[in-house]
Amino acid sequence: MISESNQTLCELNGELVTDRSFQGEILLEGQVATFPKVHVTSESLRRSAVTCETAQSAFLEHNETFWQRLQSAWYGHGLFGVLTEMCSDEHHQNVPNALRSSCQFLLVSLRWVNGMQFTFFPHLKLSNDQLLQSFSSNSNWLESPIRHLEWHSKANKFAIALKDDTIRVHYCDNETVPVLKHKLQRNITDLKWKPLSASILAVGTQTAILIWNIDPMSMSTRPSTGAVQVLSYSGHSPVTSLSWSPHGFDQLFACSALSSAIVVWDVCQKKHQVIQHVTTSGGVSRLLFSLGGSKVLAATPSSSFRVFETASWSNERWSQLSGRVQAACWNPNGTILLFSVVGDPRVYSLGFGDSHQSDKPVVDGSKNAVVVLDLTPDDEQDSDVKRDYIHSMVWDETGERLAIMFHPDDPRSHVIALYSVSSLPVFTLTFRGNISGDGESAPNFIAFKPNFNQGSCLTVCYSNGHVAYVPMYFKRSDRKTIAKQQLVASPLDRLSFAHSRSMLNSSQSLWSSPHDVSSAVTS
Amino acid sequence: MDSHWPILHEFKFRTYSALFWSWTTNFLFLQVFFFLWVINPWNHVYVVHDYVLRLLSFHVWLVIFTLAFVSATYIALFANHFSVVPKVEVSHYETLKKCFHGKHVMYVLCHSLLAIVIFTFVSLLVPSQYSSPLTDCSAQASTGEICFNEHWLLLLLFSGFVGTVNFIANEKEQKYCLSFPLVQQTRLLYLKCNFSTIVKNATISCTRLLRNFVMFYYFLGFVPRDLIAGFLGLKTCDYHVISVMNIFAILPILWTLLLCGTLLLVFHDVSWNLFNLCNTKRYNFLLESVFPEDATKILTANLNGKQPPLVQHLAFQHLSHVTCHSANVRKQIFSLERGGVGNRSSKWNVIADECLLCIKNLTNALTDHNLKHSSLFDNDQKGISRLSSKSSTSSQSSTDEKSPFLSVSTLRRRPLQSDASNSPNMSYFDVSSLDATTTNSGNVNSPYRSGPNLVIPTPKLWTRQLYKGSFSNSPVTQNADGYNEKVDQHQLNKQMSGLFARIEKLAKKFSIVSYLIKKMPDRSAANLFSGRCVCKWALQSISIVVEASFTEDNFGVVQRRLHEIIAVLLDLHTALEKYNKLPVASSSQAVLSLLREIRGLRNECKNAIYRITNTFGSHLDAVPINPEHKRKLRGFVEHKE
Repeated sequence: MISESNQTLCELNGELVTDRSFQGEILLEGQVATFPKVHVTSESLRRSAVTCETAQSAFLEHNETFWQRLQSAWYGHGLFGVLTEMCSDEHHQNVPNALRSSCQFLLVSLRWVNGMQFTFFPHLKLSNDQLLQSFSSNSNWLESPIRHLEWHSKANKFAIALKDDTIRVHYCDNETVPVLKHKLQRNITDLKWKPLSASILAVGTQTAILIWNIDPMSMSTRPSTGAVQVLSYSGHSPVTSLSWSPHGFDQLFACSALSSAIVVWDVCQKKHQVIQHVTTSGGVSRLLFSLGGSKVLAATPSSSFRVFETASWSNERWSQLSGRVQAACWNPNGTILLFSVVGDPRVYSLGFGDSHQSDKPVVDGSKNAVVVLDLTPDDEQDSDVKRDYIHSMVWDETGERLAIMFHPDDPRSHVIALYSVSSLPVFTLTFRGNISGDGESAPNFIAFKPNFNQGSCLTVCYSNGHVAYVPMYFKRSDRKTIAKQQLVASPLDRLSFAHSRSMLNSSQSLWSSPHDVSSAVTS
Repeated sequence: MDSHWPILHEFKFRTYSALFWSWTTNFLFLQVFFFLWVINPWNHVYVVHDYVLRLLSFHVWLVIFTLAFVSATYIALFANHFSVVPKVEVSHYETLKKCFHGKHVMYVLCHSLLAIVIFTFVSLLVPSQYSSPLTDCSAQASTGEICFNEHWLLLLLFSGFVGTVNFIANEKEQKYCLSFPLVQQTRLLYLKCNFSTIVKNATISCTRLLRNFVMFYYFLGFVPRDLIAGFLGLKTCDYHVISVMNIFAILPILWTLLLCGTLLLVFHDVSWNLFNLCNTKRYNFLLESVFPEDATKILTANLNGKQPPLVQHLAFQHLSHVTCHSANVRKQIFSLERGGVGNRSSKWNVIADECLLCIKNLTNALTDHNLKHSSLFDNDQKGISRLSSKSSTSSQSSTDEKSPFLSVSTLRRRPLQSDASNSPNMSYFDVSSLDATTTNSGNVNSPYRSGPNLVIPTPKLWTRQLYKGSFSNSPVTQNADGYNEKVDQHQLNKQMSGLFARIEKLAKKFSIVSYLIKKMPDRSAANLFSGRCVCKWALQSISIVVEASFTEDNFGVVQRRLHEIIAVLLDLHTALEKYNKLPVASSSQAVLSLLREIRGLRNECKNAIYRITNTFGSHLDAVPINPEHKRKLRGFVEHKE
């Protein structure tokens, strides 16, 4: 058990600070002080609605009979819904085993046919909840009060998807918290803010994609259903991953772990286009664009993945992995892909050419992946234990920090490993320390806040519903836009400089950024 | 226009490519169809055996080969009858006119005839009851007496019905307008990805058509049957093919018709999709070339509106793609050219001019439409108030009629094709300047007042309005000698238009005429967005180039026009926001699709502004733009829009 004083507050001068006495002096002056304080308790969550919600359920707690649930499933989701309901564990007493097995077989067959897959994959046999749990970035998707968190790429706000199928939007400069609810918003799997927009949020759910338009100037806490647009494509559910076009176009890319199709939506026209069928992989579990949008990773439930080049949508395939891709992240240039696979404690790296520099862009990936990090615990060096190690991996937009969250089965699941990354002269990962929580709860979801002025900021969602921010203060060397306030050193900068000289033995190389901000402006 | 190089070379090449692919895919579809055709439920064990045996026949291969070729001729029909920019008819009269237009009737007949030919070949594939117009008179046994074969007629009538109705429905929904895909795909991949959808949609459509056809034939089928049998000099059978008395006999007929109809629709849809795919494929225009024969293939020469619509669309599509994905192309755009007076970037200037022109055209069209609607709304309001209070209304309406040119709303109206920078008339200048002088006259330090675009409401400002209006004896007009001749011509035109207006007013008293010529607001609004593709690409291109200029433009060629670009984008945003407040609804899918584009255009416009504000940030404070635009831009910088 970790003591309360070990909770990580921030990274300063290359070291993780856990001393609570620092909080009063430093954090209140930084950008992080404006971040909303979020704590979602189980009591504050409403009861998750049943498959078909009626007005009655808003007033009275009532138990639906088996037949009522079947009827609701039929009206809501058709044959798939009925079969899913019959195979559900809740009704094992009502349904005879033979019928249950038949339904399960039929469901798997339908999934197999519907996904246009040529081979059979084990994940087709999973129930919906198990399926979403296994492909979610959240390490405990089923039980965690916060299932997903998504920061806006520029504005200081984020959206969180809760266990009760609602979404809350928190602003840094506003106390209003819009709550988004919709009858099709069940089992939220992914959230994505549109890059060049302040108001559009895409939500991936069990059955469809919802596009919310949340006016940032509105004081309403309940946007009407008129503010939502539903995108649905038969056979393409559950939507396990979403991604807007990084170029800011009105295009939304979606994939499903049960369908081999990668779909792009023209959102305003509600028209879809299937751009690829990954037929030999059992589905597409995740789409991950590089920051510049030049490449996209299509992870699959099988032991292979593909990387597409977005100018021509040509792709290259990597196979013969020891398992499916569990976690992956791109560096800011889109030239390095880090990934880990299920059941393997190592982090692999793949190098790619810079397609922006060539007239005919190609994927140009290296043939073999290279191991850049081995996270095998010391006590398991010689053992043959086969379990999951790495669950999620995020790389900040400066490309200088990498955070790794472990799988609940791993003994290190209560901490997040933090690494600093340097690409010159060679790619290296340097361990900075473990980010700990309050000792009573485990991290379930991690994400870096984009557009953090003073370095990076890791956002951690804990199993007790608490959202914590861990700022990492360092000089960013990638600044394209130069804000006026950066020309004057902030109090935090002055403080941290003084602190670095007087108290801590920090690495000076962190401060010697190659492009000094003030000199860039004056020149 | 047909002599333009892409029409002559590239378009033909692409059409032939589509033709070849259509033939190949139809040939493969026919194999599957043939298997389904020979299925006999009573002999299902030997289905594969029968199929293989029949495939050994030369006759079958010959028919399949010919049928694939015939079905590929859809491409030839599409090549002669397609559009790039959708245009919906704004009144019932125009719709009727289009329906009975000779060209339209000819294409209806062509599609119908092609469908009949395809069905005839299908019936020849395997000898069956559908193969010949002659049959035995008795259904049960061969009596030797020859009668007219109703099955054959049924198949041909259904083919004509499917061909005709499908063409008219597609034409109505603007399906023969090229749609540029979100993501470019190869033909094979496209067919692989969309095969199931095409077949599913064709089956659903065919089922609906079959239902309608069977009902039609059940009640009125005897008319064509007797006519054709009489024409051929044959006797009709004493039994009816479609009858409630023999439901089980209908099922195989329905299956056959469904199969054939689906095949026909699949042929049609696959051919159109291939044609669309080939002709919307990105064409690699050159940005510069030292060879004179390449002059027509230069990108900047093909962006203007004088080019055929397809060429202009392809040019903008290419521009959007390369500015987004190629740093080298952006470098060429930012480069300076030596020659003439000083160094200048002609590529950037042409690209910026064309993009801004497209955006301005849309802004002006939207503004005009908004003003027209608001004036109509005002008139309606006046009409209502006139009814409620006669005395007050009479004085009010007389004031309004006498002084239309004094109202700000009239002054704000700009002609569609006007170009403020080229016009000598001050009244064409930006409306916000007039607002500034009238409503914000106390603000002496406003940059808009002190800038080169300073507008003072001098008599000259009203010249164009007077010229247009009824004050022809105004001293200002009389002094303008150059206008006298125009005024005479104008008076003649005015008299003619007055005559037409009176005739129109008289005709409108008849409700049927009024119904026919009344313009439908949703349709006229939808036509505003017919050039949405080009406008979207223009917005994307110019904003991406401006965004990249922050780090890549070493000579500052883009920043010279930054204020202009920002002003144009903000004007469009304002126009789209205002338009959004007008309620629109329509029963037509084509119209709805066009109306939905307003959301896409608004998103694209916001994206373009955000691209610039996210990149330049607080540096935009130094850009000389008017206060209203500055206020709007602040909202974007703070992510409040």
